[in-house]
Parts: sequence; C-alpha cells; structure tokens
Amino acid sequence: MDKDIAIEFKNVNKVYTLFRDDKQRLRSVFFKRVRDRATKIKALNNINFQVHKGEAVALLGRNGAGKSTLLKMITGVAYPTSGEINVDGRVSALLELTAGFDPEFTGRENIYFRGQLMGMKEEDVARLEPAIVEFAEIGEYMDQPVRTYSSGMKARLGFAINVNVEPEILIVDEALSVGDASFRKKCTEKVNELIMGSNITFMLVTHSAKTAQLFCQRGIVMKKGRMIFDSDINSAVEYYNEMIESEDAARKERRRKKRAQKLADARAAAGKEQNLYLKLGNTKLELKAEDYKGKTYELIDALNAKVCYGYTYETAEPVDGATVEVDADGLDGFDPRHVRAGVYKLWFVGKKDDMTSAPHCVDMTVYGKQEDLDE
Amino acid sequence: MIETIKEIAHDHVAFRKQLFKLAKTDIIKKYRGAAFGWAWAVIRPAVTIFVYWFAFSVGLRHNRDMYGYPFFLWLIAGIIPWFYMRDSLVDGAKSIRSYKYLVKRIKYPVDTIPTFISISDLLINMILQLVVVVIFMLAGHMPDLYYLQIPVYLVMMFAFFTVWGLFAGMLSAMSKDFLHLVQSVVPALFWLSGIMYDANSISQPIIRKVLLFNPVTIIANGYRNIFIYKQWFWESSVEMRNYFIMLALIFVLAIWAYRKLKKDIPDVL
Repeated sequence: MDKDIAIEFKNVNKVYTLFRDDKQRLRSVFFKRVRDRATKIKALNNINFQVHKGEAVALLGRNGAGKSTLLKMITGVAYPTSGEINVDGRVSALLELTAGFDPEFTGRENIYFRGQLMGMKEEDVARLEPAIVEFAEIGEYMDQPVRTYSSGMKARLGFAINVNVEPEILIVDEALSVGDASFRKKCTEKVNELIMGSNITFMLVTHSAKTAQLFCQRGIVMKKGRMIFDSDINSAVEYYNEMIESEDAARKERRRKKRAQKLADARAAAGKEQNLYLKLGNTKLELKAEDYKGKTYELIDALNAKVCYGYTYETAEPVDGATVEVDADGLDGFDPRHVRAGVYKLWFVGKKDDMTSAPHCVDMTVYGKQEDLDE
Repeated sequence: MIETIKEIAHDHVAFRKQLFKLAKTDIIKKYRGAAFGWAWAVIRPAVTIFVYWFAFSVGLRHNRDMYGYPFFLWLIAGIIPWFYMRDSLVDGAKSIRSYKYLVKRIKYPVDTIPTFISISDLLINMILQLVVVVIFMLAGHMPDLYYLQIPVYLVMMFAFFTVWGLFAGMLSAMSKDFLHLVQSVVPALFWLSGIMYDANSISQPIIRKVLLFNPVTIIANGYRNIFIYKQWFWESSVEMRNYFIMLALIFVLAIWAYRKLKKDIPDVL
C-alpha cells in the first residue's frame, strides 16, 4: 500500500446471512446446508476506493445503502465477506452515538478504560482527561455510572473522548447532530479545527448535505451497497439530491398506480355479493356477504360508536349507486351492496338535543380484499 | 489452523496489559454496588459448602473419616476448585455476550475476552484456596511439600477452562440456545464428577474410566492429592494422560469455533 494512503478497499463484499431463528443459526454452525438455505443480503457489492491521508470524505446515501457497514469495516468492528481492507493510522470512531461504554463504570473510569483499550499509556490519558471532561459538559455526572446517563450525555462523552484522543483517522456517523445547538456548534468547531489543523483523515456519514459541504472536499454516493458516484463534494451533493428526487417521484408514481389498480379491482367486483373490508381511523371491520345479504347493515352497531347518533357520508369521488338510507328510528343505514371500494368521508352527528358532541368527520376506506385491509 | 493459533497468541501478547486491567475491572464490577461487596466472594461458597456438609454429615450421616481426614476437610479440598470450574464454565460461555460493546463498538480482539473473564474467576478462587490452606492449618495440618503442586493444578485448571471459554463463548454468541444448554448441564456435571465422592473408588471399571476423562474430576482429584491423599501428580499418570487428551480436544474445538465464527459474531450480537 502506498504510504500516502490511509484507507484502501479492494473488491470488498459483505453479505449478511439472516436465519429464521436462533436455533437455525446454531445449526448453521454445524451444517452447511442450513447456511446455504438462509436468506442472504448483500450489504456491500464490490467496493473499491482509496482515501489519501488528510482527505475529508463524506458518504451520502439513503438508509440501508451500506454506509454504516462500510464505516464499521474501516473501524475494524466488522469483517468483509471477501476482499481486502487496509487501514493505516489510529482510528477513532463514533458509531451509532453511544460509543462503547461500560455501563457500570463512571464516565471518568470509561475515559481511562477506553484510552487503555486504544493502547494509550495511563499518563497520556491523564494528560487528556481535563480536556475531555471540559468538552463533554456533563458536570457532576462525570463520576456517576454511565448507565445513569441520558443518551445525549453518552453521546457527548463519546464525542469528547473520540475527538480528544488525537486520532489519525476520525470517523463520524451522524454524530454531529448531538445535543443542543450550542453543543452542536462546539462539535462542529472542534471537528473543523481537527481537519484544518492537522493531517487528519476524516470520514463522515450524514444525511445533511450542508454538513457534508462544510467539512468535506470529496463526496461518495452509495446506493444499495454500491458506490455509484465519487467526485468533489459539490457535484456529489448535487448528484445525491437529484437521485433522491427522482427516486421519490418514482416511488410516488408506483404508489399511485398501485392504488388505482386496487380501485379497478374492486370496481370489477362490485355489484356482486362480496365481503367488504372497512377501515375507520384505527378500527378495522369486516362485513361478510352473508351477514348483510338482503338487509341494511347497521354500521353504528358494528363500530360500537355509541356516542354518535347518526351519520351521513359523502364520497370523495362519485360512486355509482351509493345511497344513504335512513331508518325509522333515526339511524342511518348502510347498504354494502351498493358500496364500492374507495375513500369516503363519514360524518358523525350528535343527537339533536345533545349539543356536547359536535359533528366530526372520519375517513372511511372501503376495500374489496382482506390483504388490502391488513396492509 | 496454525494461522489462527498464531493470531490468538499474538492478540494475547499484544493486549496482555489490558487483559489484567479488564480482569480486575470485571471483579470490581461483579462485587461493587452490593452493601457487603467483597464479603460475597466468600459468603456464597461458604453457604454452599455448609449446605452440602449439612446434607451429608448430618442428614445422610456420612460421618466416617475420608482417608484419615474429617469429611468436611475432604469436601472443601475438592469443592473449592469446583467453584472456579463452575463459574468459568458458565461465565466463559457468557463472556463474549456480556462484553458486547468490546465486540461491536471498539476494535478489540474478541479471543481475549474469555481469557480475562477466566482470570477474573481464577483470582477470586485463589483467595478461596488460601482460605482452604488456613482451614487445614487450623485443623492441625501444616503445609508440606505436596503443597508445591498447587500451581501445577492451578495452571492445568486455568488452561482447560479458559480454552473452554473461547469455544463456548463463541458458540453462545452465535446462539443463546447454546448458553442455555451450558447453564442447564453445569449442575448435573457437579454430581457426575467426583466432587462429592471419590471417583477412583467406583467399582464399575467402565464408569470409573469414563469419569477419569472428565477434567472436573481430574482437577478435583488433583487438589485432594495435595491436601488429603498426599500424592505427586506424576503418580496418577492415567489422569494426566486423560487431561492432556481433553485439553487437546477442547483446544481444537476452540480454534475451530473461533476461526469459523470470528467474522460473523459482530454481525449477530
């Protein structure tokens, strides 16, 4: 490896194997067959890249694109399934905010503990301790067990340790959004100072394009375990934003099509005697064809909506043959034979002499299939 | 295989200082927070010993002397090392699971976790062994040359159960089922090993031979060789041979488990 290179990935793949349960996982240790049958998820797909010493790189990508897996591998807490990873320099990593504390130890003990695990001498840790304590701003809690900390305090202590142990490679995963505004500002300043002041290699995972542009010169965009773009930060951010936009639009379109399809399916089935599936707020209701066959179904009873006296409904879109029937005792009936799939607005109205319950409106969705209801 | 052994050896040498720190902190963690703190390290085994002594001496009237020593002395000579073996059987299996953050959050050699857990259990047990020596002295049995063997059996015991810890710790990290299995087998192991009886005096040859392959029996007998039977370890050559066979076996299993599961463990924990 070139002396100038801090991080190098060569043909790195990572496959997660998912088992149905714990038992299967234990069996997979002994039987290859069980392992072969399990679900495989490719988290990283043929990753190749190099990061030079002193470079600041931002990783952009949606959730599940493989960013965190990649960072874990640089840190050395996860291994690639195949391929080669070379890392040159002391890595200090902030992964998933609460960064590896022993919950039984106090904050101060954890500082020493972590220092030792990183191979530092006790006097070195003692030298850095005041700076860490001051930076973390957790006051009296410094000498309390970490298990009593709030998640914000843990993250602050984690951040304080990691930026103050004089790292050569600093890895930050979403951690710049820790705590309140003033602490965030302090973190940002400290990271900036580290990047500007020394020859530190910096890798940042973030969803915020602004943060990325603030710290990094280079940006890598990941999608579904692949690196799809690697260039200067501004074009990377631009590329990422465009990707997100087009993906969102495509997703919206897919969802719209799916709903249209469902409606069409239900229309085709309408007029026949069919089961109906209703959703009112969180209440799910199934109307069986044999139950309402030939009679007017009393929805109020079915929904157990005793506070309401009656209701009317208006359709969000005009539906053929939808009628409101009024029973002799004042309850509105509901004839499922004439109702088709779609979204309805259902108005609940109080009794005439009861002024306390104001009319209110509920969306009622009618489906033609049970699967749609359960979705 | 050789590569894996080299790697494990290298990790232990590189992290030797941290190992003892971690063992120390593991002990502190175990006993801190309780009002009696350190006293529990002695109270718990004392209660267990009392229960067995009561059941056998008073209840079952097993009052006759064992090889010229009171039953109580014979009992503690074998049961004290059992406390280490029991703890390290279970703690070893739990080790990697209970130090998740060392696996998932920090770059730390996983293979050394069972080692410092075992060291922590051993340090506690060494205090208990010292108490045994004092009790023997109070009963009028002064230390003699045979006591020089204590380090021999201590090392044998530590070696086997530390390697076990690596094997069981890796498997338990993969699946909690294995941990449950270990936890339910350990109490049975107590009665199936020659701790409450002398395995050498079992009349059926097959059962005796099988029992003498059990490392728990071998170690318990070893400690009784020191305190009661007054024998040198080379005089029980069958047990020594069996011990090394079992050690080799568990060693191969541990290396196999470590090599096979090392990459998976951070993903599944």
